[in-house]
Amino acid sequence: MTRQRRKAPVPAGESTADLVKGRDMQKRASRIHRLWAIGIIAAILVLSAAAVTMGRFHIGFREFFAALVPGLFPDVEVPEAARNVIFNIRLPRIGLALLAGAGLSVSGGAFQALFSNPLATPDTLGVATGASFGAVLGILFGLPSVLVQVFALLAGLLAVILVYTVGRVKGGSPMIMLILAGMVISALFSALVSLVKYTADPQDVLPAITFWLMGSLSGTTSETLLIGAPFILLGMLLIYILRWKLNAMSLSEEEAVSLGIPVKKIRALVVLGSTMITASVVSMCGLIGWVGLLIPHIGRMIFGNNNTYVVPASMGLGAIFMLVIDTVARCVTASEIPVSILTAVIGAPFFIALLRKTGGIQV
Amino acid sequence: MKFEVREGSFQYTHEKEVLKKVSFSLEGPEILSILGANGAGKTTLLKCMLGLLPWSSGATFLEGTDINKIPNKEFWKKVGYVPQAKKPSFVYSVREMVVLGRNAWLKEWQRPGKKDWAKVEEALELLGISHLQNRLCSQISGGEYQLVLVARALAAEPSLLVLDEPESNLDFKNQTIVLEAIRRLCREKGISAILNTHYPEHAIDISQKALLLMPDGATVFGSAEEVLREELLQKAFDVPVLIRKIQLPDREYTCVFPTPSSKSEGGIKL
Repeated sequence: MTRQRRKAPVPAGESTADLVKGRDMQKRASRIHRLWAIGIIAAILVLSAAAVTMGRFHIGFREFFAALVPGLFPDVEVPEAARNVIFNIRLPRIGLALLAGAGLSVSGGAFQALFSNPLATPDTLGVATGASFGAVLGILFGLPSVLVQVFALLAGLLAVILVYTVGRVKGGSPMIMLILAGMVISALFSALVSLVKYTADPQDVLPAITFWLMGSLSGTTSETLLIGAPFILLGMLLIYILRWKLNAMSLSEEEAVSLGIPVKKIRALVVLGSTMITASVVSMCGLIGWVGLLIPHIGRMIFGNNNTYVVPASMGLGAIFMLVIDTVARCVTASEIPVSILTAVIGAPFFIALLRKTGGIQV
Repeated sequence: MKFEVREGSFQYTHEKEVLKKVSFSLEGPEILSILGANGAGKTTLLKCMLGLLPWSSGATFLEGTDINKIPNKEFWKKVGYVPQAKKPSFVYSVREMVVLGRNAWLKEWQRPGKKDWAKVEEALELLGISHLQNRLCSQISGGEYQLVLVARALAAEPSLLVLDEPESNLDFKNQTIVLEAIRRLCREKGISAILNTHYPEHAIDISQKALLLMPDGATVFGSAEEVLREELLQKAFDVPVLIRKIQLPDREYTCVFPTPSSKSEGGIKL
């Protein structure tokens, strides 16, 4: 292919043609984006409805819709037990799966842009490790699940505050210091988690801790969801609002400053949003690996690196991915399969297939 | 537009001063070239004058106001910075990259709107790279990428452009394209420019003013012809330098040669 390079100044007509062509491409791209958005939202709704009808306790589609919209199917009688399963068990759990998947993916994607590092995860600053320490401590003390959740949330926030304190050098917190501090604090908390495991009673407490660390959504109730969801939603909203700024944040710090970006402020806000999401997700469903690393990259393979699209795409794709994983986790065998195992077992081949098909991320 | 540095000094902690009482000023559509040997502090000077690094003493003034007293966004609307071309870890398309220059005009929660995209198209057209707008920054040549970075700075509609070695790592043709673009912006848009360069010839060719950083930390500032003379360049770069003018069909071009350090060879004869 020959490449033509035009010397400035360009004849006006030619250049206008380029602009028109460019605008056409833009229009086509935004049409495709709209189709994707509609498709993803539709998939979430359909899959959620399907997930309600799946599981040990049999619930049919008609029963579900009759329970959801009274009077829709006047001939269908919904037993109280089914109603209970739908509203108190399955819907909260599906809601949590959607929120956790969307949240972790957005948080991972935001960190990847913020640290301009494709390997960043929601745990890069030690939030998840911190939160899991809080949770296992709560389990060790035999606290009720709501308190375990609060412990985890607080410990996750504490971890990030520690990271910011450790990473501070005169006048600011350079990126590299934050990442190093994150590694140190994360290592510290993971040692503390080991300490708790070491002291835990191997008969009942230790298995509970181990199972919790592998991640599970089985403990979801409307109550836990009510405490955790606002954090996740607020965090996602914050990152969603700042998503275009993430493009500039992925450049070097000086470059970002020279574009007129209040770098410290945006960074702190994104870290805050991400921390709220991760701490809250971990406090409700334990450690869930892979999602935060993988889903944003899947978004990038489809939509390119522009975070204006990567952020919403991560939300949608993450929600779908987690919903599928959790439904498999609770339906395939008689006992629950830990989510972290499934995210890797299902996620890895899926990711590889996509890598082959799309030729990877644009570099 | 008046841009001025008064007695700016800079030192990295516990080291000797890199820059000693640098003073210069730039007014109206002029181009200022900054020259100096490797390690003389050219990039440091750019960063200090833009407030990206703090002066240890002295200050930068924009329209007579100390830039530390100007809100960041206001400053970056007036001054566009073109860093040395370095591709980021996440690659964006040319349009997406150029629109980042609009950040200074947008609030934290705002995203670029119609008006901003119009400015992007204007900047692309001005530099003659409209045909690249949907290409990825990794799929264009180094010279084109440098122009993209200039376009990004232009998108903020600055009255001063500051460029860090805009023509380094480029081949002859691309060097000409980039320098010509800067000259044209100055002439047609009335934009002032400050640039670091390793090439005294380029400085003589496009700039009205020059600032020479000497190895001992002293600086020489003045009009380009005054500053870019054989003796001064020789002192700055610690190598004998010859300057010769050659007549081109349409204008005169000045050539600058470093000559072999062994004195017996007697330099280059033209």
